[in-house]
Amino acid sequence: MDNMGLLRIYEVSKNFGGLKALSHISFDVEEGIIKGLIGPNGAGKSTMLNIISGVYPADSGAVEFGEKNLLRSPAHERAKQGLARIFQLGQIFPEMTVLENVMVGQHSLTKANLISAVLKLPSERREERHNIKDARKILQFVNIEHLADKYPETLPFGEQRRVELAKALACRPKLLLLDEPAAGLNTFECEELAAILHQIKIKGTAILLVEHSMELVMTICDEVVVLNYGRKIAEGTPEEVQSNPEVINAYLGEEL
Amino acid sequence: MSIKEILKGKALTWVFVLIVLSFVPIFAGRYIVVLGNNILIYAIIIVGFNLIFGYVGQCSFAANAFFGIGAYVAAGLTTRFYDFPFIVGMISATVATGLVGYLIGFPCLKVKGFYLAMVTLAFAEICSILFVQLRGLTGGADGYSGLPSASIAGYSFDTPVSFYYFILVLFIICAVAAQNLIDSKIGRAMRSMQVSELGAIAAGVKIAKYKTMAFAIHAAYAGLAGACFVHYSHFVSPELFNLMMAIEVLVMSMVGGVTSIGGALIGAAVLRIVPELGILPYQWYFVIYGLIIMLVMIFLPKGLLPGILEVIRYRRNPLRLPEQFRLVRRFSPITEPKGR
Repeated sequence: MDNMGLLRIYEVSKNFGGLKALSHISFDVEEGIIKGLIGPNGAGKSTMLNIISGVYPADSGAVEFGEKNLLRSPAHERAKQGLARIFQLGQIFPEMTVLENVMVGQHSLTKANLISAVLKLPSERREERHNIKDARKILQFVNIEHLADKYPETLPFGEQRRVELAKALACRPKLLLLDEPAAGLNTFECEELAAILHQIKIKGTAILLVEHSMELVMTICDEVVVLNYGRKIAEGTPEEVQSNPEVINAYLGEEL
Repeated sequence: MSIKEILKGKALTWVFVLIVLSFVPIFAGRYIVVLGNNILIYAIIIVGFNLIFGYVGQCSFAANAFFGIGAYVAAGLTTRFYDFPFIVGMISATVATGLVGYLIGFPCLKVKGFYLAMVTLAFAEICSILFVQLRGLTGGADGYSGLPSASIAGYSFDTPVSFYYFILVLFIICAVAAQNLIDSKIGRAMRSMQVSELGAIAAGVKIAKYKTMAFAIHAAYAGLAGACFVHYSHFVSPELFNLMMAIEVLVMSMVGGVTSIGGALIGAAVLRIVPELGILPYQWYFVIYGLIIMLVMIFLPKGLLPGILEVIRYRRNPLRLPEQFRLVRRFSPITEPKGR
């Protein structure tokens, strides 16, 4: 395996009681690519993302990101290291405007402290101005700049997802973890999402994409990892994976 | 652009309120000014309380304990040391209370919602017992009396009117500081973790840091108010800091709006002025407070006043659904995946 990957996962295992959610999974995500992580329901895809983003620890194995061992750093510090995540169930902040939501995403890049914030020191004002400008740029990038002052709750689902995407991009991640971003989107929205993800990739951010929509995965992913019952059953380009008999088996059953 | 416009609008309202408030002692009698002082002291507590209750979404029933700690620190220092400068006493009381609040914040990290309310309630009860029992520090059941008036650089705020201006300035400083905090990175972090801790962590927010910080600020504000209070009332005794005060603080916050700094003043004013009108016997107001808590908890998560305004706006134009109109949200359990 190529050892220059941005995210390197070695032999990660995770059990929930007696259930082996993940056993000895290893794969890499190289810089600047979109990697798909697919598999039938219960295959362990979300568990893998949760381990990478630090929602819960792995039982064994290692996750390295850049130079660092991710499993040693607390979840909130992973954003600073360049890891952003979008959840399957939206985790946006309904009491804050879209712009403020994006600005929460800038948290780890913002230097202000209690004193500079309370006194509104010039350094804090400058930083806020810069943050607002930056946040608007990101909103523009995901095509929702006109919604900056709306509350996310009042927006249709597709636009809420974009708010979340903008929030994740706001910490200038090197790697974006996406948990089923296309769930609940219509065909048109799905195509737009694919275009945005492609743009993100071109800008140099790698993406690890967990997704059920095969169409989306096969169109935009450079590489695909397939999990089934917590084991890795295939890895390769979308074409390779699609013709892999074990994958077909996992998805469609024995008959084929 | 629009954020600037909002800020401008806010600033204008504040200037208007300020002018009105600073003219109060000129037109009103002593009675009103005394009432105003009381309101402003409470308003300082509510500003800090709103920060933790409205913005962070943590319920604290310990405002009375923090108020008491601030009061006793200020009173103790002034009594023990001859000619102890008021300003030093006030700052020490604020810092000491803030520190206590910070430490209380840690056990409170472990619990949420109702359980958190109980932890803070228990802490407040412990404090109210300690206020009586630690005779050497607190003067026991008698407390302290004959405390000097607040004074800065030789000027003594010994009349209600002079104290009114002092406490008004202090309130404005506190309110502006709180507003600045809310509009900053820290405020956004605090607001974000109220709804989705998971989302906040993913954005790099260190939950423990901001929760304990909010507790410290809430405590410091209450402690500051307590320190000012003892140099205004000239005495301090343990029964002042009972549970009723914590409930009053909660109701004041709910009346004025839990996510509003100006609402702190309105809430404190409403709860201090309405009982003075003498419409109902005093005890009945606690029945009303209870009803307000229930009403707000169930129907108006933003508070009574903002809720009513929202409903009026909605009735005027039913097509325009209020942007944040929704039923029960606060205290609804946050579900998040937990590893075993």
